[in-house]
Amino acid sequence: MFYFLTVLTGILVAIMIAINGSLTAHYGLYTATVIIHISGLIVLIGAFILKKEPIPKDLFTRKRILPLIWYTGGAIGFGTTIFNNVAFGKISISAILALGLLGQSLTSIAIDQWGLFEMPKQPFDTKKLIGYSIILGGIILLMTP
Amino acid sequence: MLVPVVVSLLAGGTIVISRTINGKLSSHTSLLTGTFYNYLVGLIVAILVLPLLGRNEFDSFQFLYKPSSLWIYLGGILGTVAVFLSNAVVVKISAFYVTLLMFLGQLFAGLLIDILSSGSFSLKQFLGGLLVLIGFCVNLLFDKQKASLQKSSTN
Repeated sequence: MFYFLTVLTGILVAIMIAINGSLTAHYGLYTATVIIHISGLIVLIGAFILKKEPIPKDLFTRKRILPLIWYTGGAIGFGTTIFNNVAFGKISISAILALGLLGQSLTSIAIDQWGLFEMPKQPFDTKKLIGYSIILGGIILLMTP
Repeated sequence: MLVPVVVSLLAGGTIVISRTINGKLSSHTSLLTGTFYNYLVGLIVAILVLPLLGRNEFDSFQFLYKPSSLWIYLGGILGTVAVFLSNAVVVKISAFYVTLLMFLGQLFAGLLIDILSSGSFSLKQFLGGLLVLIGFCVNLLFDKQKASLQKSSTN
């Protein structure tokens, strides 16, 4: 179930990159990024209203549930939106996604290996080099024109 | 060509870091709260950056005269669903597999978008995607093998 949901997330991300790229072509990079965040926020506020739950505000109070650093996911995600919109139209969607994977793999391996961000440590299993070689071959094939 | 390549690589790094931080916040609050803060903090940063770097976008106000279709505004909504789903799965599956499975979905959707926009099918790109999928399956089997070994040793 979680594996399927992860694949679905990927499909949505690909469609999102194409749509956001079109929005950037229309409004410019930074204006588009503001619009993207507003439209997302409207949906989320709607979800809180539907669920009849109060809109969270602990970030702005002294009763923060976690230290401030754990609220910065969106600030880092802002970078992702900017980076994707800069690349859109200059290289193919497949190339943007393939290069994104390369960046993701390197970051994920580091997180798992050293247990960064308080994630459980999962030392690198050298047997998996077989799989990684095949994956790398696939990425190279994707990248060649 | 260098700029789109470098920023696409960087996007991969920020995706994983952001997803990991959001996953932790969500596990201490709720999925909805984690996703909400992702967008709220992102919006605050975007609004702060706009007058610094995006000033020229306002100078012309050209966009007001250009017609636009409604679908170009749907990206933020899709992103909400994507962040919500990725926050849900990141605490259940290792970061590397989240990355690969998302790529599986992204790749085939990406190939489809490229085919639709160019009107031609590239066998090379399809084979590249297939190889990534095979590599993923191989490593998934290693993971399962390891998990069952750990289970039998604790019994």
